[in-house]
Amino acid sequence: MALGILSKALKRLLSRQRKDSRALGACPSSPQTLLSRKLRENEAFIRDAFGNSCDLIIREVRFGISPGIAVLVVHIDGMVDTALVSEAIIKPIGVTSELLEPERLSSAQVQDMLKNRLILLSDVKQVSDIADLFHSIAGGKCGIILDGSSVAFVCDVRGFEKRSVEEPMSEVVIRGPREGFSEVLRINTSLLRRRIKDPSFWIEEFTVGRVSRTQVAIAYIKGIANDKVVQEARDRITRIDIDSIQESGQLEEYLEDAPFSPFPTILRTERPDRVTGALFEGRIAILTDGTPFVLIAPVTFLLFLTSPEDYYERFFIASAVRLLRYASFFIALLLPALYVAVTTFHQEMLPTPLVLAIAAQREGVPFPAIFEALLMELSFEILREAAVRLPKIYGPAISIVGVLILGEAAVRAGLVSSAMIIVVALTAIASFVTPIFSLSIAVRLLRFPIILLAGTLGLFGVVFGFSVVAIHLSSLRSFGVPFLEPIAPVVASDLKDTLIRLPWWAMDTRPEFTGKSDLRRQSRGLMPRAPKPQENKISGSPGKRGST
Amino acid sequence: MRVRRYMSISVLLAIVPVVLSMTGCWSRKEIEDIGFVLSIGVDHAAEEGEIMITVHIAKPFAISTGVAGAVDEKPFWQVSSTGHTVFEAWRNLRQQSPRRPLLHHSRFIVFGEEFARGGIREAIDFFSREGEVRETNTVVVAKGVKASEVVWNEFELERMPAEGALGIMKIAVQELSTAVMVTLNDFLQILEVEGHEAVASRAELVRRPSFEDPRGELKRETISVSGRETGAAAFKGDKLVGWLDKTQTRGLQWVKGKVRGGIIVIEQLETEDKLASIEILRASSAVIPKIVDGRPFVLIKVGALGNLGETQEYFDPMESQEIWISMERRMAEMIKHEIQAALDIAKYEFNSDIFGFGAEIYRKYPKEWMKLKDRWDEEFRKLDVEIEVETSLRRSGLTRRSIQVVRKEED
Repeated sequence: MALGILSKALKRLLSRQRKDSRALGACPSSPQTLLSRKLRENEAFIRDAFGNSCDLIIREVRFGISPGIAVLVVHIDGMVDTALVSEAIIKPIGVTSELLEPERLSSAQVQDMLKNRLILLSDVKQVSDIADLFHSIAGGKCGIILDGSSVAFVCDVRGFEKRSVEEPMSEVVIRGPREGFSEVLRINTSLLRRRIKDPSFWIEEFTVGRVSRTQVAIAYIKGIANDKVVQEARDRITRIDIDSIQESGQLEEYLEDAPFSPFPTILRTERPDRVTGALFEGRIAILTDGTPFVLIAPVTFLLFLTSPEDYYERFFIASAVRLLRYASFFIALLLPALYVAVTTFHQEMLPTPLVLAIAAQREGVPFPAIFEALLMELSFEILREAAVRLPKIYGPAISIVGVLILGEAAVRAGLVSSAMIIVVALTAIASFVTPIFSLSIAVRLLRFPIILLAGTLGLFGVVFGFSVVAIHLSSLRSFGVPFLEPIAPVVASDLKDTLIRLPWWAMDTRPEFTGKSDLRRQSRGLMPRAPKPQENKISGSPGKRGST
Repeated sequence: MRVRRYMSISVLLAIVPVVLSMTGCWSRKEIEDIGFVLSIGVDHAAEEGEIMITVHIAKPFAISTGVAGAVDEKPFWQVSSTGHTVFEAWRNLRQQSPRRPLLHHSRFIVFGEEFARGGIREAIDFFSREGEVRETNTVVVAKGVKASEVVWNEFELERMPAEGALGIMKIAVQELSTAVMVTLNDFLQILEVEGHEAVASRAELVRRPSFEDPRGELKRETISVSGRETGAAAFKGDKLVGWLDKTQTRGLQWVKGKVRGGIIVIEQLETEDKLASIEILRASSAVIPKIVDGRPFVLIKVGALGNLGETQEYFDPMESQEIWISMERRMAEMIKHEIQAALDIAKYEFNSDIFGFGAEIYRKYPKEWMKLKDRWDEEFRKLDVEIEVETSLRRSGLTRRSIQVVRKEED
């Protein structure tokens, strides 16, 4: 409840500031919106707009027998494949058209000749809007402007340095594809397309960010994804009016259902197989250019605790690992709080030898248990943050100083009990079990208030804190889907893929909430069986075989 | 409207931390500020009409958990305090203990013999009311001495007296069936039941012969006084009336169906004085009360399964089945003998129905019980009890026949 009130207050505060900040971007300092017929004017526009940036290249080619028509080939150095520009644009225009006499042709004929015959590229578009032309050039396309004509051509010759497809850093699996998304949107869509070879896989592209002009794409499978969810995503994306988008995390904050929740209601992943898996469950993916993190929505809480590997590993093992992961979630959230509560309020709950062992370790520790817990949790968070940010070469040094020296010396000096070190270490490791990082940070953050509650109210405080978290979680929705589905509300058919994962041949339907449009996934009765005896063609002793 | 909303939010934000800190961490007690009481003894104090309690409190810092130098110190502390009531004495303990004594982890409630003979009524209420006392505490009576002497009896292999006593008692109950473990809960319940008298565990001091170690290497002081936790203490009402020895205790346990294990030694063959040991595997019992011509009568049916654990003479059951059957018969006789021993002492010496026959009659013949209950002491003494024991030797260990020692030719 307190969370709700808090969030409402913050909402009010923030919404006030959202007065229309003056628009920047679009088309800077250009009075005109359409191209001029005069080539020099257009060139001046471009030079003016790009402010003589050093990577702007304007190449003039002549078309036809001299003097011919001047053609400007404009592109940004480094963003295009220069070999392709010279082979597919400059060479045909300049060399192939040598014998033409363009003066004899009308302007429309020239345009047609250029577009349909000379430019040897698959993606050629005609533009007449000057802003379009500028954005295309800035986006790495090549602009071709003709003298005496008010249209220009934009062709895709993009070729820039990019990271190749590598193994994802943040979601590692033992069994499963090793490919991860990279920073380039087109590569990412191709990774998905390669896994879904069907025209019903649709990708819609948007441009977000007035200045950054970041491409954002919604990908979904038409017919499986809920159209309303797709429409909602479209609406939420087009609503965004900002100068730049750097990363999908930024986008996430604009798209979320619960902006004040510590819990993420949109899942981000680096793994194409996770995305396609989600698409087949009727979810949608939102890809952002410039980041390997793809957003998936709508999602449920339990999805954050699954790994793609669960679906590749044998189902007994996958189910056991899942239970382990759920247990780790609770350990990461509650263990230090439980330790504090039990050792400062409820000593009767521990077996005698254990209580004496803990008491022996706490002997001489100058801090109360709650302070000890907060201190150790905090120092662990500092260590973790340092280990993440530090250059990799310092890694071993940090682990030696932080873990060995600090931990060992703190216990030796009697400042911290070793039981507390064990609790903190176990909690830390448990928090790393969560496959999706954004959930594990949320858990780590919530741990602190729960420790405080445990230290002041004991187990009552822990239960109170946990209830608040549980109530909050059950109030969340992700694009209209209850966040705790299928546990609250209970959806019996979806329990097949929660605490345990049933074998694939038993999971006949898609999740109820997201896959409503096309629920059935596979035909029934796919469980592999031994062939029936009469089907067995091998002649011989039929009597013995019949026993199966 | 908006102002009011901000007001309420800011008030809430201000109240939450204040409330949390104002509780002052209510009932918070750091684990190192607690003295964990492991057993508590109750006696009469030297002062007339006062009660003395003795506790043994664990010293966590003397338990060796990697802390060097702590091993030589005894890991417990025994301390007594007095008061007019148990509660007052318990609270007075805090005058001597810098750490707050806590009863949650107590394992034993020990009464001195003298105190128990005088009746434990005035002490028992505290233990049923106080929230810190667990009902799983074992009720013990110290034979011949004060509870204060038994409370901290030390045992080898366990550093904590209570742990040692618990270990010995558990093993005696499970492997020998010669001791009883009566929890506070059971004890209090039986006190309230008509026609059923209570028993409690019995503890006594054992002086070990002084032992000089020729190697002189043992660092720790050898334990010269230890405890023995076998047998049982029989009550009548709230007063101790006497002691059951090992045999009588197992007799009692046979009737109650609580025999979990043990060895029965019988004569292997009727004629020879060679012996055989039978290990009790399982036992069951049924107490069937009957009213015959207005007179109560109790039939005790005991069944026992045994394993032939040892014979002193060569024997092959495949050759002589009669011997096998006669062994079963002698096993039954031994059990009957043990039950009879318990019955005799309960009927004639204590005149205390520790078997709960009265309660069984009450359960089956409530109307007749109404007539019987006022003179139950007398009726119990005259009660006819028939004992039926059915035994079965099921196994013979790893071998069938015994080891046959071939007689070598003597010169």
